[in-house]
Amino acid sequence: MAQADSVPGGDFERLARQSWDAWQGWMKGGATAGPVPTAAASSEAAERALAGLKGYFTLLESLWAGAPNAASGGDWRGWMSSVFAGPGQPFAQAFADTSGIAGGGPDAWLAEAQRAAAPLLDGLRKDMNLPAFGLAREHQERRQHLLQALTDLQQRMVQYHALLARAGRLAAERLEARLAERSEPGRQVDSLRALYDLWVDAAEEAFQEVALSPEYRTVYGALVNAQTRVRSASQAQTEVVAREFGLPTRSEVATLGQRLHEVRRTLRAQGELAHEVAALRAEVEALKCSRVVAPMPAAKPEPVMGKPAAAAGKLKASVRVPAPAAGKPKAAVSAPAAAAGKPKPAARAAEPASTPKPGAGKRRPARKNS
Amino acid sequence: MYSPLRIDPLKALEEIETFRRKLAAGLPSLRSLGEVRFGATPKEAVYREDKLVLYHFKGERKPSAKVPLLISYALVNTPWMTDLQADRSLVARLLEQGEDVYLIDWGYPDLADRWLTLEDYIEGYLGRCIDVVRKRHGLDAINLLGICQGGAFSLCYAALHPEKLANLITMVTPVDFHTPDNMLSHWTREMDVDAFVDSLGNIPADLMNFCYLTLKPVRLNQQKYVGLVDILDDPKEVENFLRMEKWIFDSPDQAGEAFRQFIKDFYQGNKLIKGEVEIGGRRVDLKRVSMPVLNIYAEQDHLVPPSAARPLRDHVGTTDYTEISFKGGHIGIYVSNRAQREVPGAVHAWLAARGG
Repeated sequence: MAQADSVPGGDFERLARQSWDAWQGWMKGGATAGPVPTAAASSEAAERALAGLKGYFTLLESLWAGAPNAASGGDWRGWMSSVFAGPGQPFAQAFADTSGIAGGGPDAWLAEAQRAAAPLLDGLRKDMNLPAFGLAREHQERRQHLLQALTDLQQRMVQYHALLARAGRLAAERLEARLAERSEPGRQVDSLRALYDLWVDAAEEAFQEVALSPEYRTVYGALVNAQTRVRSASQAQTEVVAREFGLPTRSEVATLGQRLHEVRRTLRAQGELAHEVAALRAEVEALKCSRVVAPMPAAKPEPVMGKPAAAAGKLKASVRVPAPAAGKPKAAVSAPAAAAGKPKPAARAAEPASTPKPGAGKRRPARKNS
Repeated sequence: MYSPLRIDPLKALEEIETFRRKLAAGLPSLRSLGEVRFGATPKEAVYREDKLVLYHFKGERKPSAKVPLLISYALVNTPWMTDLQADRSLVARLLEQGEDVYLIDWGYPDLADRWLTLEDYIEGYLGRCIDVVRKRHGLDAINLLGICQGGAFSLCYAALHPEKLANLITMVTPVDFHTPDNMLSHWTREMDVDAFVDSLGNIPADLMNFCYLTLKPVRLNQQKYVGLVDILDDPKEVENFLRMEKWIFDSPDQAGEAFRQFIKDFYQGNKLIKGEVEIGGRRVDLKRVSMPVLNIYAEQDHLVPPSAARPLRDHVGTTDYTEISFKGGHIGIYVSNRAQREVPGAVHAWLAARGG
């Protein structure tokens, strides 16, 4: 690393300070200063962009803090280790920034759950395992369950963050290994941005290794399940309060929704069945009509009565294909059958004959739907 | 032995200053941008049911394809990734090739939809959309293009109703959910999904998005926004960036029951390739997928790794199976320049060779 005193005019420190001050000012308020905000300025994208940049800014600041030492002594390993593997490591920070965003991350969720539960749990902590008695028994037990669930979730969060910290340390090791490969001239890292990008690659690789481990799977599953127990216990408490105020509860709404859904499904099934029956009736009627208009001579006419054997209502006898002996094949074809046989411009017709495709034999000509 | 770091302090300071100046100068342009929208191609709603809308796209010329193509997207995001903007639109490129394109917009489920099951989605919504398109075109069978989870739905439907599909295309579709590099699957395996759904009802989009962001935590939460500063002086690029952000985070909640079944049967049980998935009491046997199948996967897909998509070849019943490997990621397969050049043409050529 080049020496800082090489800056012309010797006011390097002043320039650096000005730059950081400007950054700090911008991060603290500059982002929201200026003209009347528009939809874009207040969009989620802009907010997230700033959150991400804050982490990047912090990382640059950390890098900068160690730079003079590294420049003078050349202890690049110590410098990298202090920035990427020490307290406040950037990987864990990047994760924490996301996890702390309301509505999504487990840290923000836990903080909110603790805040909401605090009034219910006042004075209960020292008696968490005390059996409950009497009229208030069920109420006390519900609160104890909630407190137990919150305590358990906190423990799971500690385990989860320990794994993230491990990923962060592993990322630092991977970065060091990648840097070690770049010691020869021409391959050295000559900008903060290049160093940052290299670290991101190392961090993602390290995280993937940790996140695909059996331990992470267990800890992650336990974390989600602990969060679920807190949610369920909180809901049980809320339901009691809602009932007191005559408000519909979540479980009541769920029950209604489930029943309504079943009714809708039944109605739809009945409607589809009715549609099928109507279609069959129409087909039967059409067949009846076709036989009245052009009765198909029987191959062996009834010897006595002489009237059409396939009388109305006998579906089995309503053969669509005219008997060869009938002599009037056109008239014998029912209207629906004619429609069904009418070829449409078939997609399959475009199939190149020279390149038969597997399964071609299974294809049916496209036809009009009934 | 040299130090691998050759960072000049003055240049480093300049670098930081340049970054800050870019950010400060770019902020006004960020503020001046209007609301971003997606869904660039003209379209007409041809069928509605509950919150679902079936769209028919209008190309600049009449489709030359004889069989229409229905796109079934995943439930976890809106389907507008396929038609993000005019120059990043799978739909538009397919129309240019002569395809006749339909798309299902599943809508945004609310608590009223909490009890929708996979049967409701696959046999119900998807099945009725297929019937609507078949009826509109007077065809027994149409072409179906399923994307990601929508691809898994399409495979189920194809196995249950092979007679209604002329050709099936799956894009970035998971089939084997238990491959070692499938992070999403790994994370869901020890979840108590029943308790999870019972307590949440529908699964909030924010929760889903948090999970997706943590698949690549630094790249997606930080590096991406550092990169944004590089393009702040280019309003068009910034608009593209914001549009993508909107698409990512403007995502629907997941209907609770369908989510429960999908996680338990597909992610945890890996039942699709075992032939054990049941939809409406009927077993889904992929051997019944007898129509020609085109399977497109992305080589750098961190959500559906190639190892999860490729096994389809071993499980479908068709003898006409084609596989295309795309050099890109789960999203790049729709919006990257390479995707615009390669994917729609490949889909069209494959369909055309099969009379579609």
